[in-house]
Formats: sequence, structure tokens, C-alpha cells
Amino acid sequence: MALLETRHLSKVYGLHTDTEFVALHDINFEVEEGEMICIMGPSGSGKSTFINAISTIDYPTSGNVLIDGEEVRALTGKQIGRFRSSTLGFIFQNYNLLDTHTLYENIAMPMSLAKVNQKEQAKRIKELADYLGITACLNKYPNACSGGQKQRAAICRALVNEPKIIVADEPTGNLDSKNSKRLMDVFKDLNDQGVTIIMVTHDALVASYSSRFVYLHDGRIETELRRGDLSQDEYFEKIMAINARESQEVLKQ
Amino acid sequence: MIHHALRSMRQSLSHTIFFTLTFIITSAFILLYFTLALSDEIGVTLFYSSNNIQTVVSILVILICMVAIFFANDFYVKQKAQDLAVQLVCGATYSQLVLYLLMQTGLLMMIGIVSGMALGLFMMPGFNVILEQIFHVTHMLSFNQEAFVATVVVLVMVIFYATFLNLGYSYRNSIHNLLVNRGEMGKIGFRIPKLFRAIVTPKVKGMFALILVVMMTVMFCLSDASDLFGYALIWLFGFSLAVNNVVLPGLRYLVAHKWAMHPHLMAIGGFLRHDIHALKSELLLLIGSDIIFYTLMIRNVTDAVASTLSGLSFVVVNILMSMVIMFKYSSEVSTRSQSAQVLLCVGYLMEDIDHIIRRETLLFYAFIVLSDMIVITTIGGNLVIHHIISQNLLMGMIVLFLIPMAICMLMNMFYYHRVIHGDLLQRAE
Ligand SMILES: Nc1ncnc2c1ncn2[C@@H]1O[C@H](COP(=O)(O)OP(=O)(O)OP(=O)(O)O)[C@@H](O)[C@H]1O
Ligand SMILES: [Mg+2]
Repeated sequence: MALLETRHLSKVYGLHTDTEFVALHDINFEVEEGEMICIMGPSGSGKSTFINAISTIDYPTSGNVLIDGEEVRALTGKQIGRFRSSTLGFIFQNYNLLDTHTLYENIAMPMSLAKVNQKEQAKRIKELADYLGITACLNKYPNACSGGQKQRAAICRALVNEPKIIVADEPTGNLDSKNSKRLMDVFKDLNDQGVTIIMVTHDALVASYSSRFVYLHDGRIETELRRGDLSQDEYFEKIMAINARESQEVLKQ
Repeated sequence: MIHHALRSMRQSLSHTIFFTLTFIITSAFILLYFTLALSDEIGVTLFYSSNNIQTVVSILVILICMVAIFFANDFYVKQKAQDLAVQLVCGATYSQLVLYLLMQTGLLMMIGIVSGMALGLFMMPGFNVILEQIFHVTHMLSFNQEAFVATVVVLVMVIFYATFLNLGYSYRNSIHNLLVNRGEMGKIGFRIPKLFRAIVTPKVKGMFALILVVMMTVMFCLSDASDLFGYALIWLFGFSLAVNNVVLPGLRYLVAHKWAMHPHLMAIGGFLRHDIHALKSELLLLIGSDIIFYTLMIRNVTDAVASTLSGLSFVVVNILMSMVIMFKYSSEVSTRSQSAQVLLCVGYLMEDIDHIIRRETLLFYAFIVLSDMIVITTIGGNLVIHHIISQNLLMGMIVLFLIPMAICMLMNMFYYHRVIHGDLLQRAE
């Protein structure tokens, strides 16, 4: 049984208004436990919409989303809440930190929901923050932090409960290459330990860490690619080639 | 430009309605106040009088009205911060922006003044009954042309003043701040000598502040009435220090340590800390004005009419200040739908969030009311013991302080709820 699954998933924004827009068309997709899936595609192709829908952050207009074979709509609010706080770690494209709380408090929040005690909270936050280099900002409010610092705080918040599934929307979008590399190493480690990862990225190098590659275009899955036995180099080449097709089409126009 | 202004008003309809409503209520109260102040019994000849107590009180009331409307307007302009920022980026000039804002506030002002005065007239009989109950004066209020003129003049002046001031602030503020922080101003610290900083740590300051507050509260109960003003000022200073060095750091400590395993309290603590920080000056103004009206009452013990007027002004000003606080609080929470979104994604449930916002609002108002009640009850009690005011008057003042606060709290809860549910519904369509 798939860990996450979508059946005939569609998302329409502004339904029945004059700005109606179909962001996802009838997507069937399965995520197996332990996979590391990378999603690429042009801006506006529906990547964020897709990963939001598959991880209960947003609801589809039609079609089903299943977690461990259970239809999301059939789950109670409590079950969804527990899923979000302890099974899922979500990293948003725009960080989504509470600006009334310090970075430390933001990171501690999911642990508080999971009833982790205060000592353990402090310990885990220190470890993660040290590794990602934001220890100095922990007592600052998000408004006083740079984009990359906020992004790393959002990453800490997503990882701190040791989730079984990590969904990340361009987690390296605001990071320099050193921090991107660190994050990818973390993801790789977690994935080796069996954590399932789904991430959106614009960076083909980041994508080459994945075990499966998905290319979205106008709300449809255009190409899917499994790494299989390919070396990271070969895999990277293929991903580049798929992305290049898009650029060539732009050139031809 | 006109078209743009109208469209912008329609877009933020709920804010516009909220603004207009407060404006109507403020107008009604100012009208009532002037009617009272200019009534035959009080006999103020406001425009010709020499510097007697009535003039002082009236000016104070007007000043506080201005503050009230200023914050209402501030709330309204803050909603427009992004709007203004975009126009600034596109190269709008100062005079264009003034025109743009005045067009909006001007229109609302007309509606507000007219309906507010109508409301005031409508409320007069009711107020007469209350006045009779408390002060045993019959039929104090009746239609008075002078009062109408005074109200209109004051309101129009205040609106223009507030719009200019708020706009000036937006204009000076950087575009980036307008966009990102919704107009929150960057802080500038004083340069304090190193040695001083080493000795006077926040902990020392906090202890000092607490000692001041407790000592002065004791003095409120014990001292002679004529010394109260001085003690009250020291109390206010200590209280201000205590908020900065005890209450806020205390909340911070609680959130990170004691409340670490209580997800509700953790969220509430952070929000509350933010609210108290943001509304500290309004709270000080509330307590400060109460102290001033007490002092005025003491100074005029012999003059029954003047001390009645002070008592009434106390009530009116507390009503206005409640509205100021309601507005400022509303403007603080108007951006919280995004926070609710974050909480949902982290794993809080909708019920949790409803619970959090109710508790936060309740605790916030409890903090305000308790702080002010310390002053009102201790000083008031002292005055009652010294037979300067009657027990009934004190009870009346306390009740008339609590009722508007309670109403404002409920309005805030309602508005907060609307902010969060309205936005989430819109997103879910
Ligand atoms: N709340 C919304 N209302 C209306 N349309 C929306 C909304 N959110 C997204 N869209 C539209 O849906 C489409 C897909 O958006 P989505 O955010 O999923 O794109 P994306 O692939 O993540 O793009 P990017 O790489 O720029 O982040 C876009 O065309 C966007 O305009
Ligand atoms: Mg996106």
C-alpha cells in the first residue's frame, strides 16, 4: 500500500468565478515509503498546489488523497492535526513563521504539540540550529532575520519532530551553496534512515539527489523518471535534458 | 484618483465599517459631553471663560478624543499601508496621497458626524436617567446649539490632524517597512554608559520597578489625598518599567520554559507579549488620564458641580480609551489570519485556534483592567475614606469603567474571529 496516494486529483482556483483557473488536472500519483521524490517544472505549473494537496495543507477540488490507504476527507480534525504535527514535516516556499514568536519558539511549537518535554526540546533545537548555523538568531523575531535564516528556521521546525514524511517547497530557494549542500546531506541521511521526502526545487543539482523525478507542466505530470541504477552524474544529465526541452521551446517561440 | 479611492474603500469594507462605527460612537459621546459641559447647570461658558476647572477638563477630554480618533484613523491608514506603499513605489507625490486619504476619511467623516450626532441626540434621554441616578440632577441634557457647533469643529479638526499625522508617518517610513512590517517602526536605543549597563541589569530594573509599584500602591491607600498625584506619577513610572522588565521578559520565560509543553499557552504567550508591547502606551495613557481626573476631583472638592463634571469626564474618557484600545488591538490582530494558517499547518486544530484567540483577548483585557483597577480602587478607596467622593460615585465609576471595557473585549473577540475565519473561508472557497 502506498504511503501517500492521489486519485484523479484536480484543483481549481476561484471555482465558478470569472478568474476560474485549473491548476491541477486529474493527477494519479503514488508515493512509496522511503522514496525521495523531486518535483520540477516551470513557475506556475502547479508544484506548490500539488504538494500542498498531497500533504493535507490544502484540499483538492475533486478526486481523492489517501494517507496509508485512508481517505483524507474521512479523517477527523484531530487525526489530521496529529498527522501534521508528528508524521509530517512541511517546509513552505515562504517560510510561514509566526512573526509574534522568536525563531526558537517557532521551532519548539510542533514539539509542544507532540508533548516533548522542555529539556528535550532545548536539546533538539540546539543540535539542529548548530548544524544549520542559526544558533545566533534563535532569540530573534523573524522580522529581524534574513530570508535564508528564516528558511533554515522553517527547516528546523519541520525536522524537529523527526517526521516520517518531509514535504519541502523549494527549501534551498534562499540558501547559499554551502547551506544547500548541508540541507541535502541532512535529507540524504534521513532518507537512508527510511524517511520519505517530497521536494520541489528549481535546482537540477538538488534534484539529482532524488530517487524519482517528476516534471510538472500546466498542472499535468509531463515526465517521470526513476534513478534506478544510474549514477548521480548520469541522472543529473537526464534531469538537465528534460529541463532543457522547456528552454528550447521558449527559444523557438 | 477618486475612482481609485472609492474602490479601495470597497475592498476593505469591513475595516471601513469598523472605522465609521467607532467614529459614530465617538461623535455621539463628544456631543453628549459638550451638551453637558455647556448645559445651564454646569454653566461653562467655554468660549469666553477664564482658566477655570471646566476649561481644563474640557481641553483634556478634547485631547483624549483626539487621541481616540487618531488611533481609529491610524488603524484605518495601517490597513492601507501596502496600498500606500505601492502608490509610493509608482511615484505618487505627498499631496496626491493626502488627497487620496482625505477623500476616504472625509467621506466617512461626514457619515460619521451626522449619524453620530443623531445617535447622541437619541441617547440623551437615557443619559438623563443615568445622571439622575448617580448625581440626583434632573433633566441635565437637552438640545444645545453651541454643543453642536463645538462638536463639529473639534471633530473636523481632529480628522484633518490625524490624517496628516498618520500620512506623514507613512510617508517618512521606508517603503520596505510599509510592505513588510505594515508600518511597524524600527527602534532606536539610547546610548547608555557601559558601567551603568553592567550594574543596572534588566533584573535590577525589574526588581526596582516592582518595589516602586508595590510601595506606591500602599501609599495610595495610606497617604493624604493631596499627595496622591505625586505618588501616582511615581507609580506610573514604576509600572512602565515593570511592563518592560518584568511582564514582557516574564512572558518570554514562560513561553520558552514553563509553557513549553502546553501548545495553547505557548501560542497565546507569544501573541499576548506582542499585544502588550504594542499597546503599552495606550495603557499608560488610560491610567494616566484616570489619575488626572482623580486629581481634578480632589482639587475641587468644594465645588460640587466641577467635581461632578470631572467624574463624568472620567467616565467619558474611559469609554473613549476603551475604544482606542479596541482599535489598536484590532489593528494588531488584523494580520493574524496568516498566523492562524501557520498554526493549522503546524498541527493545531481549528478549535485550538478559536480557543487561543478567545483566551488571548480575554487575558489581554484582564491585564489592562487589572492594571487600571489597582489605581482606581486604591486611590478611589482612599478618597471615599476621606469623604472626598461618595461610595456610590466610586462604584458608579468602576461599573462605568468595566462595562465599556467588556463591550470592547467582546467586539474584539468577534472581530478577531471574523479576521481568521473570514480569511480562511476565502482561501478554501
Ligand atoms: N490562491 C490562488 N488563487 C488563484 N490562483 C492560484 C492560487 N494559488 C495558485 N494559483 C495559480 O495556480 C497555478 C499554480 O500555482 P503554484 O503555486 O502551484 O505554482 P508553482 O509551480 O509552485 O510555481 P512557483 O515555481 O512560481 O512557485 C498558478 O498559475 C497560480 O497562478
Ligand atoms: Mg511554488
